[in-house]
Amino acid sequence: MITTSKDYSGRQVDLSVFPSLATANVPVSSEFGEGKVVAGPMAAAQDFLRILLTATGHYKSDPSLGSDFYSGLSGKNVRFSSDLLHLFMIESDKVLDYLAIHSTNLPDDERITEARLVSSQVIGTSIDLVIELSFVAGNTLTVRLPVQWSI
Amino acid sequence: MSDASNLGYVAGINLDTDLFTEAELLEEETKVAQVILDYAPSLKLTRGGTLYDLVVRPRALLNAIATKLNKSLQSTQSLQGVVENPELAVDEVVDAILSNRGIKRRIGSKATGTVRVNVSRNDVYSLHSDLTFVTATGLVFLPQQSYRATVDPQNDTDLTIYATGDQFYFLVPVIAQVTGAASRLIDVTELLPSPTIPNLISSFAFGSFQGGENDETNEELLAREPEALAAKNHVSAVSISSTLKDQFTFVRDVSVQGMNSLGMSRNASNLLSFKMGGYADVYVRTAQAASYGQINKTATLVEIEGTTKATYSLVIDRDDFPGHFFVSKIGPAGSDLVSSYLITSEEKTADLRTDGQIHHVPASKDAVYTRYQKNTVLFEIEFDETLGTNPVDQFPATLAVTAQVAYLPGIKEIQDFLSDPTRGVVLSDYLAKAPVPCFVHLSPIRVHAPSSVKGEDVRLAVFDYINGLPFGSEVRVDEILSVIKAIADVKRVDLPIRITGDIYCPDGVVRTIRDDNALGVPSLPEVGVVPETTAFFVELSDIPIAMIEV
Amino acid sequence: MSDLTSPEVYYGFFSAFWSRFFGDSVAMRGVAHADALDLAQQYQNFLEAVGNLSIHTIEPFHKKQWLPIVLRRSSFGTGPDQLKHGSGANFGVQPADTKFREGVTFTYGGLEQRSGLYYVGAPANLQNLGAVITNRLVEPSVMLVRDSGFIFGDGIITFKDDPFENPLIPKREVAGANGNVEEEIVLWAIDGEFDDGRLHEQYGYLFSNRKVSSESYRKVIAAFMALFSDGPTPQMLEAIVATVAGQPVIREVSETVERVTTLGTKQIVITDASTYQVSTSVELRPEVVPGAVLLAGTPLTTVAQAFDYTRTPNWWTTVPAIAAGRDYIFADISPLGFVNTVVPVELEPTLDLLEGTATPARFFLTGKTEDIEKFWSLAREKTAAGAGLGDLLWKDAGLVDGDGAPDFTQELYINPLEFLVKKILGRHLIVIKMKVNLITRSESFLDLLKILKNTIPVWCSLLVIFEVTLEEEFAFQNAGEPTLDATNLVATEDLIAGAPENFTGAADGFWNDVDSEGAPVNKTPEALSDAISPETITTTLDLATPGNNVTAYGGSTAVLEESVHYKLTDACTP
Repeated sequence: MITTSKDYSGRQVDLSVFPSLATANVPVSSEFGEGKVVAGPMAAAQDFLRILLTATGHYKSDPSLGSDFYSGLSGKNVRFSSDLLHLFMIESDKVLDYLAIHSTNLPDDERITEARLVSSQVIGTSIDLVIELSFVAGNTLTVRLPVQWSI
Repeated sequence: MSDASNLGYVAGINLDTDLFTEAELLEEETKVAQVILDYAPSLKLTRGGTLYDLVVRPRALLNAIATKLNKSLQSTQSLQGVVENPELAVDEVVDAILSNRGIKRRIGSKATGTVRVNVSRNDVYSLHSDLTFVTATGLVFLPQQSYRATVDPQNDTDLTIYATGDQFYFLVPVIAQVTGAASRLIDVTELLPSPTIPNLISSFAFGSFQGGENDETNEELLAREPEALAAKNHVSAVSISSTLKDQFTFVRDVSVQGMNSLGMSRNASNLLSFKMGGYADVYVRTAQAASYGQINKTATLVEIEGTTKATYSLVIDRDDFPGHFFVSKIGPAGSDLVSSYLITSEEKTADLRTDGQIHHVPASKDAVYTRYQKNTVLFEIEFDETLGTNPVDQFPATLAVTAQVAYLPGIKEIQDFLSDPTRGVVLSDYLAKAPVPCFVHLSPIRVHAPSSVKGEDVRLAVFDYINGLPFGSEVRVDEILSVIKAIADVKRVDLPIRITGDIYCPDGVVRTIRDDNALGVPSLPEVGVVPETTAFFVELSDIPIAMIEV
Repeated sequence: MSDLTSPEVYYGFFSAFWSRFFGDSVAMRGVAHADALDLAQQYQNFLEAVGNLSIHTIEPFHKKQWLPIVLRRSSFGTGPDQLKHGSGANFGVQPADTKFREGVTFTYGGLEQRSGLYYVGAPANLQNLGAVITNRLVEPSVMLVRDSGFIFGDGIITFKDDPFENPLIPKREVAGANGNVEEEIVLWAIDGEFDDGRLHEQYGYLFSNRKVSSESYRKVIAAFMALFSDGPTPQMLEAIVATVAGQPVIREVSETVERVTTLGTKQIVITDASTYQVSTSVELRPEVVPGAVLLAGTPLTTVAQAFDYTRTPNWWTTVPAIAAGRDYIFADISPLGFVNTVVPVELEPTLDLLEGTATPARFFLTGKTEDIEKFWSLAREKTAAGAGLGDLLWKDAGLVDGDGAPDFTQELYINPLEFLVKKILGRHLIVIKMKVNLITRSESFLDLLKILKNTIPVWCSLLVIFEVTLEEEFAFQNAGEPTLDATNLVATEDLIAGAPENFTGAADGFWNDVDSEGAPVNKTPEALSDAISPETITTTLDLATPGNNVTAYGGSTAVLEESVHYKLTDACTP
């Protein structure tokens, strides 16, 4: 039995694989954790992050799903912060396009209108990305996403 | 391994998502997602969602592979499932599958018979071919063509009106509207004409109806499968049987008596009685029940016994009902054969005029029930003093008669087929024979059942059982009980049921056998009677049924 | 992407997010592994279903790639108690190198003692297990190897050690049948083969009621189907009788023999395409020599052979006699023996017939006296003028006078069997000869006879010759006194040849049913009441090699030799 810690009535719930997404300023980890579910803007953010980290064309049934963010990051085209910003802008737009097509039935506070890379910081082999997501309803959500970066 | 062993699917090579188009996979995913959503509408199963990735996509992939493999398999399937559940199989599917093995379904036939129409006035009646005769159970029969009934018939489509007391009647040949055994009416079953016939008093079946067989069932078809594997030639017992059933779809059972068979004797007419190679007798059952046909012939006066009677001789030639069983009735030419002259004897001999192949038939009995059989029948006519003529005037040297003959169809055609030089086997001498008939009579069968169970259904069940027995079988009381008990709502069947059989042996003797449990054919090879050459026949009228309502 | 049946490849079906970024990627690997296992089994089922389409590709058994073996304390150590025939058990102490524990004593009537072993009953239709049993499906820490860690046979899995005592095998507590708590473990066997009856349901039902599947049964059915569709060619007959007898036949269209060698109790025939093993107790066909090119279906041994007159006209020369009964003679008689030896032809009194005279004749036959007389009497009745058997035989032998008439002053000898084969039946006989003692599989035999009878040309006859090995001596035994008396012993050769002059007095008494003084007695020893007498040993005759006598039986339904066994007591059995 899936249990929820919030009132998700009227919401569609998904399985939570970024359990710390809701905690501000804490880098998100991705795991089943305690097996919770997620809904609302958090669910939309989770989808955004997961699709951003999924390679475009991986699923044959869904060739437009995914982005080339990670492969771009691993390549040698990212040398300056501006390169990263450029890459994020292009790839996040792909994700937003995909979500826009497949999220038409969602409430406004789950439909992302913009993804903005607020800052980035290299910590060891990881880049800590701070991303701000804006929704149609006007609400925003900021997440810290650490991404393993191998050159 | 041949290509067929994996149908092109090879693990490690191509058992992957490349087997599918994007649309095929998407269709499976949509189906899986929808099913889950139908149960749990609050789940977020949009494409791109986490649950979608974890649950929908892999399940859809497995489904897609299963569907792909199953479809491939189905396209090459043969008898899987059909053999296990023949009663569930659709006829068309079974026909299609078995056509791969060269098997054709035997198509049923329509029953035919005669309706006696009693009318109150001697008039001229027009019977259009769309007139119907309907039984109380809804079975429909049609005149075989348009007729005119009159006391003064002028042509073939005129039926004679006979007088009986102060009433009149005429006999209408009819055919069932549909194929099937249910239309085999028994004598005096009532039939109502529609539209009605003027001056009608009553109308009913005149004698039991003939023919009327169901289409071959899936079970019967499948039973022929082993034979269908056999090469289509005239070499082995199995291939002869298979070939004949394919060529003549009315052939129901075949028993081949070869070199060493007990029922084979014509190959032993040598000094040391050794059974020699080269011969086979092919016994064919070509119909469920014996047919009764009529033929007009000229009889020859043999002798006049004073003022008592005269004996005439009638020859049923080898081409008149080839291989027939016996002559059942003889009457004046054109008579309705309600009654018959007294038939005193039949003598069957061989008429071996060559028709391309010379057969070795050392004794007359070896020609009996073959197309080479010739039957000389003696019958007697009583002297009628009331006519006021003398015997010589009453008994002319020749006499036009109509004879009714019991026979199985197709014997000549099958003999021709076996002898055909384009098909027959060199140096082989095959004789096609109708089975030695054993006509079965049963003591009254008392069946306890509610009124919903019809006596006709019980009679038909027994009829089908006995007439469906293959060569070499016994008529068993326990199986008679089984087929009756298989009819819904039958409560009880009383015992004993006595079974009597009259074997019309090829030596001309009718031997009677009886049993209360199981009637088997005795082994009398010297007269050509062994279980493998003899078949059981029963007429509906020889299955007396007494329904006791419970 | 390829091979979704591979767990790792299936893992790759999930995107890089799940394998690279997701923290619980191990769980995802498990999901993928389970799906891949399912798919592999599904593919196996698919291959089997496709294989079912042809008798040549059908697998006799359904294979489960992973089979759970659930063990509970309460059911452990139980299973079928009684040994089955053919299980390889020995009466008494078990020797080394069997699947039973060395030194364990088995006795008749008692329950099997499998002390020291741990066993459990397997599903009834489980026919075989693969090489290992493991404690886990993934990276197992316990791997029991067949024949060392466990053995399987007769529906029983027997473990060398108690798996409940193995700490590496996880145990769990479950509710027992009585509500008690007991331990349960699950082990995993690979490649469990189940007999689901498919061979019978797909093909076997066409020919037989046998429902037990096996690879050899598949071969027999395939041979039957080929016989049906191709007809009884000489080669097909050879192939089918050999297959039914369990003997190897050449598999490919054409194979060249490269080497013939012996290894232990096996003869090994190596061709360019296959390797065949046969026991050293059977004889290889003379044509199986290095360099020989053998066609598909060619049998390698002489255990089962088929002949016809046109290809092997002298097949009869090694047969001592043929019994011809009602199958061959249209008369109500029991079988008469046509012996393979030269006998004089005896003339009978000349017959005066309407059209002239005829001289009948007769020669030696074995059989019941009244039937022999009936046979010759029937011949006399059918004799036409100038065509008595004497007239015909003398003319045929060229023993004629100057006018071409038979010269009965000269003597004539014939070989009755040669006469039968060459002059009467030979060209319509299909002969099958089988060494009964060497047939490794005889359960299909009745099926074979039935099928052969239906597939040979109807104008021909099937003669089956069973070669059986007999004991050297037999003893007559009185049913009322079932004890063995040395004075009743007779040599098999004398018995078969019907040479009672060599019997002891006592045995001769049994044989001829007379007392020592020659007076008839009314003893009812079982042998005599069952009609063992000089008149019934008609179809068994002397062979040059003692102990390898041959019985020939015309027709196709019974082994006459069996009746001899039933009615005589084997002298070698204590």
